[in-house]
Formats: sequence, C-alpha cells, structure tokens
Amino acid sequence: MIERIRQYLEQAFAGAPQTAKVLELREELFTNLLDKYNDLLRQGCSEEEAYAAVIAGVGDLEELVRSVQEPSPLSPEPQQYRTRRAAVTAIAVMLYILSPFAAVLFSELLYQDTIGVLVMMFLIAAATGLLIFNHMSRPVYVKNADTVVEDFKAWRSVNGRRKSAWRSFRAAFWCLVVVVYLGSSFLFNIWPFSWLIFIMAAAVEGIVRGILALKEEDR
Amino acid sequence: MSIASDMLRGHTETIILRQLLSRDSYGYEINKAIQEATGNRYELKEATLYTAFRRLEQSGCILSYWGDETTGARRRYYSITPQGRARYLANVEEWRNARELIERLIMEGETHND
Repeated sequence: MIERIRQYLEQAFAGAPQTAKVLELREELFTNLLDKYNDLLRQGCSEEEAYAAVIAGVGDLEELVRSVQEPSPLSPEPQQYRTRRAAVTAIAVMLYILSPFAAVLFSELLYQDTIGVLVMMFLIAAATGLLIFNHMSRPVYVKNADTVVEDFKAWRSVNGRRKSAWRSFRAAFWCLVVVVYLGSSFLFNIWPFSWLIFIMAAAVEGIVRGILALKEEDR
Repeated sequence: MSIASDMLRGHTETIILRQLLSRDSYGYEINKAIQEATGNRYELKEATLYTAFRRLEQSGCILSYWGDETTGARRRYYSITPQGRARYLANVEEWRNARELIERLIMEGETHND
C-alpha cells in the first residue's frame, strides 16, 4: 500500500521537471501522506480503506506542482530600468563628443590651455564613470532551481558581466592614455618622447590582466 | 457543508498561521489539528494545504526547514516569522469587520445600535 501511495505521487509529478524543489515537495507530500495512512490504520481502518481515504484527501495536485516549477526565463528587465540605462548611455556619449569642444573653447577663446585640457579630461572621466556604473548595475541572472542548467546560466551570466566590465575598463583606460598623451605633449611640448606613454600603458594593461588571471585561478 | 468548506478555504492561510503561532509544525500535524478543532467536520485537501505553504513561504510569512528524524523519511517543518504574525493579526481584524458586515446584511429582524 505504501508503495501504491508512492506510485500515485510519482504519477502526479510525472510531467514536472526533476528540480530540487519539485523533488523536495514530493518527498514532503510522501512523508505526510504516510503519516496520515498510518494514523488511519491505528484508528482501525483496513489498509484498503486507509489508502482510499488518503488518496481521496489529496485533491488536485496540478496547481501545487505548477507553483514550484514556475519556468523562470531570464526575468525580463523592467522597462523603467531599460529606459534609465539608455538615458545614461546617451549622456555618456554626449559627454565624449563634447569633451574636445571644451578643450578648443578654452584654448582658442580664453587662452587657457591647461584648464581646457583639464575640463576635457573631467568630461571623459565622467562619461566613463557613467558607462561603468551602467554595466555594474545591470541585474544578474538569479537562479531559481538547483539544477546543473541553472548553475550554468548563473555562471555564464557572472562571466559575461565580468567580461563586459573588463571591456569597459579597458576602453576607459586607453581613452585616458590618449588624453594624457595629448595633454602633456601640448602643455609641456614633449612630443619627441611622450609617445612612450603608449608602451608603458600596454605594459600596465598586461600586468593588470595577469594579476586578475592569477586571482581567478585562486578562486 | 460545501458552503462552509468554500468559506473556510478562503481562510486557509490564516488557519495555518494560527496553527503555527504556538510552535513549529509539519503538514500532517497541522491538518490533523484542523480536523480535530472542527470535530472531524473539516479537513484540508493536501493540494490546498501545500499550495498555501508555498504561498506563505514566498511572501515571507513562514520559513521551512527539514527535520532530522533518525528513522523513516525526513519531515519539512514550518515556523512563523514576525511578518507572519503581523499578517495573522491583520487577517483576524479583517475577518472581524467582514463578519460584522455580513451579519448586518443577512440576519433578519436584528437591529444594531452602535
């Protein structure tokens, strides 16, 4: 009889994916139905009567099974966040485009080369900060079932985020290098050797990348 | 009886919270307590009971944990959270109001003087 109760449940759960949540629910139901079955036997029911009463009391399991298996597609990003992110990106791009104008404006009209370059660098830094903020504040994939597939999706999501964060850091880094190159060359008139900054920047990037890779391995 | 069942089903969550107020419990024990409290006239369907558990858990009113029975299968126990207690009190208050209104509307020949 106990085996029949188990079979009944297995049939009821046949269509559901074998996620940890679904299996736990089945185990929970099984123990509790068994409790009821044994209780009925103690009260003097025959095995057949007890089984019939247990099954009759279960009710429609369909909704219950559905409630624990909710297919959770990558929950779509709410519209308001998407709009906000688009606005932030647009502002950042606008700052990039405007930054050289600031430099030209200050040096041509106000004869303030240094301030012009500083304003330009500030605008670029602000724009880059906005882009990085956008990347970091993007929602991560939240796994909602303990299956290998879900683990993989979560891993891929984290990995993808790390990659895109690295890409934006790199882009910002090289922007700043160019700014420093042009700024220092114009200001101090060191054109003959200021190009060395690019070689140094490449070295720095290589070192940072190496350190990050080592950290990754440690984990 | 079927009318009473329908009305009771609408209060499944409050009934469960009420059972968990004093101590943690598990599915069959809760259902058994309900059965005894109603003099064997009412018993929840398992499907209704466990769906309510899932809903309460999702809304943070109860927590669940697996017991460590040494013999036989493990049991999943439920315990009420502060949020669950607040929900219980709110539901009781709501029921008091509803009951009063329904009585005014359906009882014959009775006048309320408040």
